[in-house]
Amino acid sequence: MKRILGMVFLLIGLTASAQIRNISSEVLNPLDKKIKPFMAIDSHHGFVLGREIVPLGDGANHPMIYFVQDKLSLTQRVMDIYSYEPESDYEWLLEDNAQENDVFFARSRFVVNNARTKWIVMVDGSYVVFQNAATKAYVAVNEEGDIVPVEHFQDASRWKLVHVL
Amino acid sequence: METGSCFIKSNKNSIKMYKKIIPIFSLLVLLSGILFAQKEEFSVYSLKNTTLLKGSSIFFEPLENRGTKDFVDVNGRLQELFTKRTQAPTDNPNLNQLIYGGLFQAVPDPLSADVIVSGYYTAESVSARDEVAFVESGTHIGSPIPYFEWRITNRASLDVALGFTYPDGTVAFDSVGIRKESEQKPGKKPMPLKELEENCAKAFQNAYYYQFNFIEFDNRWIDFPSVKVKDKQLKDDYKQARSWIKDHELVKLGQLFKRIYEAEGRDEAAVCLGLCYELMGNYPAAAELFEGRSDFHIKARLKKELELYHYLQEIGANIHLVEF
Repeated sequence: MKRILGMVFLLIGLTASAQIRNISSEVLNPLDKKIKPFMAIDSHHGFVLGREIVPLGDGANHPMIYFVQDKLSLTQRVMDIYSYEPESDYEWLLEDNAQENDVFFARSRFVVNNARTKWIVMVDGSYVVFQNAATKAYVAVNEEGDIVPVEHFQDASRWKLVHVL
Repeated sequence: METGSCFIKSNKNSIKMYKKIIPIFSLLVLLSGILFAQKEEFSVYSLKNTTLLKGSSIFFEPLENRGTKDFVDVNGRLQELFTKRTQAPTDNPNLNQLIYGGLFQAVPDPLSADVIVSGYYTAESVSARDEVAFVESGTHIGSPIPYFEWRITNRASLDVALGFTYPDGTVAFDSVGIRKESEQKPGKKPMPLKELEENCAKAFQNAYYYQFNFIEFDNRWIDFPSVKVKDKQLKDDYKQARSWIKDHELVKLGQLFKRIYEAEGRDEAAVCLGLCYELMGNYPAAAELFEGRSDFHIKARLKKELELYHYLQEIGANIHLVEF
């Protein structure tokens, strides 16, 4: 019995310190969410992606996001990008809104076109670029810290994903 | 029949004999309680470790903090150790005068000191963030996504370099480095800096203790052998010896045993006088008196005590030898 318990604890310990297998969080059961929060930091201006974008600073409370993978394709992953707000009653996810022609975090229940909330996470060195799966627009952040959709890959913001322990 | 009566007769004789022996034996047992040696617990001293203190006068110069934090009272603790080491000789004349007679004294002027205790320390505490790069390890769809982990490591450190400067300009250092750190683990916060600083300060409390307290003591039962005294006056005085031993009145005991030894020259009196010298710290005088008279326990004890005495001589400490 002691040995079995020891093995279980060892397994838990190893899992806790192991590298992440997939950045996607498991939210199949809404009551038992296993969320892996990340800070997405814009490599150019140093803004942190969130419902309210803030510059990266020491000791500041930075917004965080989490990803939920959608199994649409066997060759390419698309993700929902949620704002990580454990205290909030609502879920907010990043949408390339057709009516507003803008990218922002929208409340999940008000999303009309689910395809516009799916994002392809493209790898550029040690950074990532977010491209909308439906509109093919890229996410960029301007000098003022506003999210703007851009057409070309080179204009997109490069985001550094920082897993928050 | 004759054999039987003889047996009864001899049995009766032996009972008579026992009746005579038992009271004598009881009396002897009773007397032995009075005449037999008296044991009492005393402190004996020996050398614990060597020290960098040399000479008899010490000057303490508070250490400068070269760090950015001040979470530990280094000078307070060192001053405490220094003051205890150089405190004025004890008022109790019955304590070991070699140990408590003022081996070192504090001097107000570094120029007149045999050793200057000074140095510096560096107290730091910082919260550092290490960035570690990873890629996903188990995905089979698309490229593995790179990500980073920021791991906070809280560190508190204290480095103390205590210097002992001698009149010839040479300096000896005794340094202490204390490090306390806590790394953030998945799902676990690192230990707060304040707590790490407190742990550092706590660890420093034990540092340098043996540099200033290099003499250790041990409580031992010391056996004063009984002395047969012929002289009436001395005999009367000797009656008080038991209570003096019990009360650790070593000066009175030493003076008494000296008088007895000088008047009657008994070996037991010499051993008792030697014990008084030993307990008062005059180890050379004790060694002289124990010569050819001491048992193994005394010899073993005295060997360590003489080692301490010679070491104190070597480092030039103030040595006070009691004479009765």
